[in-house]
Amino acid sequence: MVVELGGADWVLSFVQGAAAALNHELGAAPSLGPISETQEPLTSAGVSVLLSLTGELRGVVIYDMDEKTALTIAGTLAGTRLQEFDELAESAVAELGNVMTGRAGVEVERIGHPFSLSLPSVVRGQGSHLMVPETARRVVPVETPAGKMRILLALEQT
Amino acid sequence: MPRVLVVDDSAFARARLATMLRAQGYEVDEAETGDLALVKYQLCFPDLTLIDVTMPGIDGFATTRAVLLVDPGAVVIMMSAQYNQALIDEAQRVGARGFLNKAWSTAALRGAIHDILRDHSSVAGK
Repeated sequence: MVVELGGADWVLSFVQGAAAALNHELGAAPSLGPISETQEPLTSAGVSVLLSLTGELRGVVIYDMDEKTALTIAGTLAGTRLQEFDELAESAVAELGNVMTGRAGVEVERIGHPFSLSLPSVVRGQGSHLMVPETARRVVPVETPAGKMRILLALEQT
Repeated sequence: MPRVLVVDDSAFARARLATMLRAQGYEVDEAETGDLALVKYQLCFPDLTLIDVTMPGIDGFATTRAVLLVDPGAVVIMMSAQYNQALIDEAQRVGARGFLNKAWSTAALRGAIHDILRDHSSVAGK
């Protein structure tokens, strides 16, 4: 379901900032799908990077992908082909989430919604239930050269 | 060549920076926490210390203050995936000589580090 953004101008700025970081880190522009809103419980595709936000925007952002995509992304960032999703690979995708959210923060602050972010944490396990605040949950499918991911925004403007 | 201490809880971020710096000929030491950074600092007294802002335990600001207590002449650059004026101001307030955005390109990071090592007198902006 594609929804109207309802005046939440920060959503598009956030997604565009995150995509710009992804472009920079992976060396190719990602393709963004439509922003939709869901009330369904969120489950992991295999590897999920979670960050908490506080400030003018508050809640959780999640970058969710399957393990193959996460491994390919980690290998791209590390500049080598990785055989297994080990601690270094986990650290790489966590750092990618950190940088994507940091870049999103630059764009969102530009329109007046500054926020601070937590350390990233990584949840592994396909089908794992992702606990998020009871706010509007926006989902953005993203196609990258390394595979598909979703940006999940459970954020509210304070 | 100058010696650089990289302080970041992210193993990947440390590895990426260390690889880039070693390729430039720098000697590099690494620390994953603020506590460990203080120990390593006093073992190697680096020419430059790069400290991530957001770390578990002692954060980057407190680590910077502690390093400067140990060595008031320390050259510290803070770095973060976030880049806003409040963070830059706080970094400057605690005594950092510069602030790097971790999302910058390798070339931009390399250039900023080179410039700050060459001239310790100003806080870098993008």
